[in-house]
Amino acid sequence: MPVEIIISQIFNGLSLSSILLMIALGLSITFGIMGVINFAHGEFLMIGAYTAFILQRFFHGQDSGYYFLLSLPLAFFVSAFIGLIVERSIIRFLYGRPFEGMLATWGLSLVLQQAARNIFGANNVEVSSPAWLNGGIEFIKGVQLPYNRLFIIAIAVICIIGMYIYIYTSSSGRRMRAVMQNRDMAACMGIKTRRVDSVTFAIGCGLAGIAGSVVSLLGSIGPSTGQNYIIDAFMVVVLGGVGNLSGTIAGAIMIGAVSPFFEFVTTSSMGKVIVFALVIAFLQWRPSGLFALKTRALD
Amino acid sequence: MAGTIVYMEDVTVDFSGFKALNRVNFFIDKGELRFLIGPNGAGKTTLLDVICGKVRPEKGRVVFGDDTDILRLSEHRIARCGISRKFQTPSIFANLTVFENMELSLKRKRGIFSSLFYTMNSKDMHKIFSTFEVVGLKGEAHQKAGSLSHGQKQWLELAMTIIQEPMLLLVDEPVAGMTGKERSRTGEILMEIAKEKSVLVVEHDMNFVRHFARKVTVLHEGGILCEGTFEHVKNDPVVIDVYLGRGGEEKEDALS
Amino acid sequence: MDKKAYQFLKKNWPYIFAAIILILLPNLLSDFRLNLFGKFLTFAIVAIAIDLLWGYTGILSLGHGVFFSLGAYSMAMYLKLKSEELPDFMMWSGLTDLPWFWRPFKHFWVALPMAIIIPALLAIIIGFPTFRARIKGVYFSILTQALALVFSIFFIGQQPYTGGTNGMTNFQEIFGYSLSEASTMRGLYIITVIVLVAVFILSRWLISRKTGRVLVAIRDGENRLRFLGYDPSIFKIGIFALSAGLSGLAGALYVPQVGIISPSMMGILPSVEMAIWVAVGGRGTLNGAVIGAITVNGAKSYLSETFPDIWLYFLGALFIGVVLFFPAGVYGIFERFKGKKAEEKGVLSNRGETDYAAEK
Repeated sequence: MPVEIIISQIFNGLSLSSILLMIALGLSITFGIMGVINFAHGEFLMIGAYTAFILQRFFHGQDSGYYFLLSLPLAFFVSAFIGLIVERSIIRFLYGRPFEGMLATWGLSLVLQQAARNIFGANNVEVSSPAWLNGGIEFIKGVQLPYNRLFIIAIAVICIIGMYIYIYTSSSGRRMRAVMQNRDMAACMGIKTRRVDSVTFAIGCGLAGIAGSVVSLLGSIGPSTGQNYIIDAFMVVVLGGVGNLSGTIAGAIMIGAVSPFFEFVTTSSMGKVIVFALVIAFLQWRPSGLFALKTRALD
Repeated sequence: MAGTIVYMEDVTVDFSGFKALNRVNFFIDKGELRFLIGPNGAGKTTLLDVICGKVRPEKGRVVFGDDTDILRLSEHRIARCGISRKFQTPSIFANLTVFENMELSLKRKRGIFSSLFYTMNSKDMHKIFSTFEVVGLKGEAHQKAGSLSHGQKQWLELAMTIIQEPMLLLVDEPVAGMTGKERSRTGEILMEIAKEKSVLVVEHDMNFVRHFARKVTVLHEGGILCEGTFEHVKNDPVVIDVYLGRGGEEKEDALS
Repeated sequence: MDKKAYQFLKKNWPYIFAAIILILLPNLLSDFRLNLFGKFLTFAIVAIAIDLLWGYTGILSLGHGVFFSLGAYSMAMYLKLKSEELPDFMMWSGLTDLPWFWRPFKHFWVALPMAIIIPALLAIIIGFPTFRARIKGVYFSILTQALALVFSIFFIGQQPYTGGTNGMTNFQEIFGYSLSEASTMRGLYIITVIVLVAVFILSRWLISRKTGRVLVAIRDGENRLRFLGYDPSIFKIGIFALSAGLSGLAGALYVPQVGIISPSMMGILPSVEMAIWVAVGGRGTLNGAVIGAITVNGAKSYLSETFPDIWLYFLGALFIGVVLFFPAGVYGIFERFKGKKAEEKGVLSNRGETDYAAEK
């Protein structure tokens, strides 16, 4: 295989990793903190994507396209807000019931997709990339790294750094970690666990929203956009181990790098089969994810 | 009865940097009733965990009976060899009846097909109910195990460990959460079992230990501090030191 | 002897009553409705299979659409070869020869066992490494969900061998009976009823054995069970394979009645839906699973006919609502009333103790 293709494959893989990472982070922390696997998480990505779409319609005709930057925070807040409503009305009744949680949130994902179909139509819509993201850097001769993918990677890096700072340095992040490790004890220490739950869930959804707005740079978006990414994001969580930031990052890089490679070398359907087999094989070696701690509990 | 039932050599368990057991050498003779005491975090439960296969040590050797290398066996194989375990917090199957809990614990073939075609015979039935008589759960036989009181759950689990017909019983804090009367009853049961089998008991309650212990091993910070009769152990200056909790360095010195 | 028969009737009259109704339905329903109901009954078999796995053993598979479809595809291959020398989609993709792995499916007595064996084998291949590595709970569910995605993509991608997105259809006959005849459909319906009853009885038997207790023990405390000398992973692999095999059998019954199988039946959507049937009916009770499969599918076909635009909202709301408000499912509500009554009468099982007393 020529070097140019390898490099651009790796690069595409990295941008996929970035998107998966932003989705998986939310999945992982909400599972870590509330024991709920949110099957509707992909739909928050969809909400973010449609937010970017609406914003573009609003600013229609402005060539510079710098309004796109505005869609990032907006997507975050819209998704986070809807996430907050969902957490208050549904998720909080599902704590510690992971199986039921999966089914209920899956029902929610059906509802959200159908809502998108009714509002925006069943067909995909196009969000045109802003002019300043067209083109790319010539990395070596014959290999162009597109600006929009570079932009996605940059946004993901910023999100990760932001999450690190939030979780490990802010007092709100410390409360979050406390609840994650021992909910009852945290409650005894006077932490309002309910509020921590809401905030965590909303942040997770917000991150998916940001992912959605950048996904719109890569192609058309539609009611099932979230579904395209969610399974890969789950694989990231499985690989990385739940509620584990560094594990999630490593898992995202692995899935993002490996799956385009196999899809390129074989066919896209064979590639999926191989990646799935690899995940299972990997779990033989590390059943509870990359960075699991050895604990003493019986279950 | 001669020889050791379980034998541990140079066993080290490391929980992400914390050494729960540090180069422990330990053995129990066949037919012995041994008590394991020590302050919190001394590694008592971990020692039981190593013997029953729940925790794999980083280093060392554990031999059961004459030549069974425990570290090569999975948990269920160790159990089938004849080691049964009672956990610290009562671990029973809450949605099964007391009777069904016992049925599962019977020493029978435990594969898929053998349990598919297993029918209870009068011998097994007798075994279960005579064990119920020992622990006093006969009246509760068909109640859901989850509805038992804490003390009853403890006894149920003890009954489950007995009915496995093991050669070695590992019993973790059997009298926690029991009233005085229940405690002495439990002690009697343990003494009774120890007539035929080897029993290793972890216990915090010193009154209980004083009453029933023949030989006591004191663990501290992942190592064995002292071993002997309760009287001997009680008067050992190092042990007193640890239990009264004066300074750390002295202990280290005293040990070496 | 008479007393025994009376006891049996007294205990099982609802089941006998239900079976009689099922057998009489061909005289009560139109051919179209009967065919639809026959489809629901194949789903009921899947629901029982999932309940054994989830309700009793605590393993939630979100990939049962795959097992169901593999059974369905096995039967479809047989039906296809009955109708055409070389399936139409193979000709379209330029194949001139039947692929080697298609050949055995010419024979019914290969295709039918394969409909059970292939899904069961796949379950073992997936279950062996995952259960042995002690992957459980939501992790396992997520993996099976990925399995559903991977398989549906794979089957779409292998157009020359599987018929791609469109799957397999245009079946003409089974055992020389035309599949467009109403009488054939009635016959297939009756066969489905018989298989459903057989699967139900088999599952009840399994649950009543010690194995049933082992499964519940795995659900409630897998790790504790290890220290009683059981190897939970063997039991889990076994029940997963059985569940997959039963689902495959259901798929084999589904295909001749519905006349088409495509990858859309093996994807995530149908797979999760199958788990929902059990949740709605009430997991951990076989009756609940059957009731759930029939009611949800009945409601679904009614709603999607009557409100094609908004029925997905109903479906979604149903899932959320059942989980939030009726965690024990429809049958659970029913049982609660019954349970109260039973307690009032003081009817308690006294299995074991009486025998013991007699022995003494």
